[in-house]
Amino acid sequence: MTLAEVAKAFADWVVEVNDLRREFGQLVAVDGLNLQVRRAQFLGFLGPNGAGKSTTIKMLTGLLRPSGGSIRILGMDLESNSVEVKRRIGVVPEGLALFERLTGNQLLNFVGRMYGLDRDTAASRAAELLDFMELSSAAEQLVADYSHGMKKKIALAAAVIHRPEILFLDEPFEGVDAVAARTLKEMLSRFIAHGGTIFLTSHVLEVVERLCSHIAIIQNGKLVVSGSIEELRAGVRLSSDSNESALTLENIFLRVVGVPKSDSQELSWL
Amino acid sequence: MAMTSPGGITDQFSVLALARWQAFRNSLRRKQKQYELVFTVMYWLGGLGIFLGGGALFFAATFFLLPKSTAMLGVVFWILFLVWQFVPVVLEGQSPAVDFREIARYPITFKLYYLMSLAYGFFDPAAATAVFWSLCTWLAITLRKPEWALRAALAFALFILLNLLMNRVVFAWVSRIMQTRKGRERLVMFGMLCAVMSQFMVYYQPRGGVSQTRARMLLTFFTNVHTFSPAGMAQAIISKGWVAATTAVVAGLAGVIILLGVVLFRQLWRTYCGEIGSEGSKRSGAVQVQPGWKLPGLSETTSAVVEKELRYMMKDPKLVMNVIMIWAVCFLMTTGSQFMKNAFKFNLQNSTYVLPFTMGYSFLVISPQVFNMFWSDATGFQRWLLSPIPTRQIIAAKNISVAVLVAINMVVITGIARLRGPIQMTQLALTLLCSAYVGLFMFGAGNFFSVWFPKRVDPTKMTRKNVSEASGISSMLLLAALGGSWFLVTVIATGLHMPWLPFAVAASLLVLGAVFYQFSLAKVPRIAEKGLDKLLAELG
Repeated sequence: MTLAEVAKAFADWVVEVNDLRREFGQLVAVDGLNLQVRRAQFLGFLGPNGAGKSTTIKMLTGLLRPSGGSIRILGMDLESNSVEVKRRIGVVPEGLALFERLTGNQLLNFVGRMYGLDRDTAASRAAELLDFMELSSAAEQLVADYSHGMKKKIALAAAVIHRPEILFLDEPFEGVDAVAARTLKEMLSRFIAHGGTIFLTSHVLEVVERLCSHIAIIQNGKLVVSGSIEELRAGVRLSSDSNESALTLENIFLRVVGVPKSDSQELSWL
Repeated sequence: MAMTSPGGITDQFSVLALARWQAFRNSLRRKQKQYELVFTVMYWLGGLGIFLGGGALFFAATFFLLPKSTAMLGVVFWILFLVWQFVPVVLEGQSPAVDFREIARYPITFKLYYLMSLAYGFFDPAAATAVFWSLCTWLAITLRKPEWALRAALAFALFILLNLLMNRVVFAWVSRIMQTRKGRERLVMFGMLCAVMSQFMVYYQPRGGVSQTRARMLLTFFTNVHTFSPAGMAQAIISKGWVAATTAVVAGLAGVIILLGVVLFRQLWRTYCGEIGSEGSKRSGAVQVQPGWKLPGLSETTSAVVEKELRYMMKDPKLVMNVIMIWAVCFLMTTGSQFMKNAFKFNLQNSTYVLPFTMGYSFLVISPQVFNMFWSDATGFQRWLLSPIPTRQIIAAKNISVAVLVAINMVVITGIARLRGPIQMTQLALTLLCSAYVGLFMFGAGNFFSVWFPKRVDPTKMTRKNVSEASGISSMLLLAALGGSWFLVTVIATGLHMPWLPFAVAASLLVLGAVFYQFSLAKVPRIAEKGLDKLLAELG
């Protein structure tokens, strides 16, 4: 690799995490995590429950202060440029962070203006997004009265209204029906097609396999493996005698994190 | 396959009590909750005083007054009835919260479910208090008139059962309404309206008093109501002896109890079968998105935050009712009431006291918004942290939105006072000046308390605890100090005939308030950033 290529690779990194740590008392939730994400990459950030996925995404979006290490987003240090970073990213956090006593229409308008859009632009984008997300008929309903799927859709709309460069999505497909999931996937595909970068955590491995170009798997707060799905497949093939057709993302994931004890253990009373 | 067997009622209650205890113990892992516990203990000590003191009072009153008149028993029963039926609604937020829709999911029979619902009624502090006071009263009756002991026991037993059933019926009905957001909001509005109306009755006295004929009519009406009320029937059982009339009353009371039992049976059966209220959705046509507000003198983002805050305030039924109440009290003070004039020799029909008093009231009403500024954001609180708006700007915007509400109140109150007659311009200017310094001190202190003792509150719940115990007590003390200083300066100036003194003091305090407020804006964002985990755990 020439020096110019190395410089270009660095320039393309929109998320750079070095030796990231987060402790909660005695518990080390994230333990020296190193991770890079390139522009226009669709990264699936996977891990078993309690692996540190949500803690990592909270630190990357400024919701949680790291105990150690550094985070650079879009080439800027997150701690010293948090306002500018927040202006250029979009987030669907774990709890969705919605002001539920606003109507869908008011919420999108409000979020757009929080990100510096003028009133008319915020209003026209809100209308477009409500239409795209098939929420037009619920635009005047309070978000508190939305179904779970509708809330996920409005949260994604709120995350993209200011046209961010990176999207951080924490379990966007959890509890969403097939119809709503299709709308969300369509939105994400368009975002990637227009040069955006997505950092997504999900337990729905089929969706991750279909949507994501790259995968990173975390366990006990440490990065276990990362790369494109093909690279992961190749790695697993080399380390075992698996046949190619059985190497779904689920199989790769289970191979990497290890089969849980409960698979071999029996419950005498069940 | 081995089957689990539904536990008996003792097992079920042990499990519930254990879960409650564990939840309480776990909550103490957080430092803030430990501080809160101190204030909660103070609160419960006060409650214990009422519990025991009330019992002693009921005993003494019955013991000494019963030989003179049995009518006092009617009063006793009415107090017990009102305490049992109305206090639980007011104290709803403090009672152990058990959702009986959740309990219905466990493998228990309907019979056990019904009994649990009844027994749960006794867990309410008001119910326990009413039962304890009933026992004290019964003891006094037994000591004073032993021959009435048996009938009194029967009357109290029936009365307690009736109250218990009525309370459960009302709560089952209320929880059915509370299943939908609109229902919750309407109920809160209704509750507040009742509270407002009851306070108006204190203020309002008809001019010229009540005529004798009208007084007689009212007396007859209330006597009839009493005779057929649960309190009247219980009184009749004790005081009328074992005659046919008493038997009829017992039968009547038993009939009401059976009726309430059947109603409760129907209500609980529906819940047990899994009935769930749904908000439903109203479909509308094509989306028409209006641009947000642009408020003069404010940036786009600050305008957006102020708009959001004001929209939230307009959707908070408790706040809306409280604001209407301020206007109504102002109206009554300036128009019809003779109460304050008679009681305190204050001529309230001019602006001298109306403006300061109602503005003080206005600050009291907004204190939850000031001392717990993130209270109603719920998970939306995270949005503030994710947004590119500095925390200082968010806090300032929240303060501005409350200040807008105070300003609206000031305009309306002045308008109402002006209806009665001319307003002294010096008084108006002084009120404005004093409101400004009180507001600045309140906002400054409120900013600190909002991040030191945050508390997440559901605005649709009929609880009075809109702030943490610590913030609640502190805000009251601060308001008392600020209000006291205001009053003191006015009194001193009047006494010394120095009309310029209040202006000088208020102007000095305004400068101090501004410095303190600026200090809070500089300091609080840093405190919030350091305590982000704590804030997220409580609010997010």
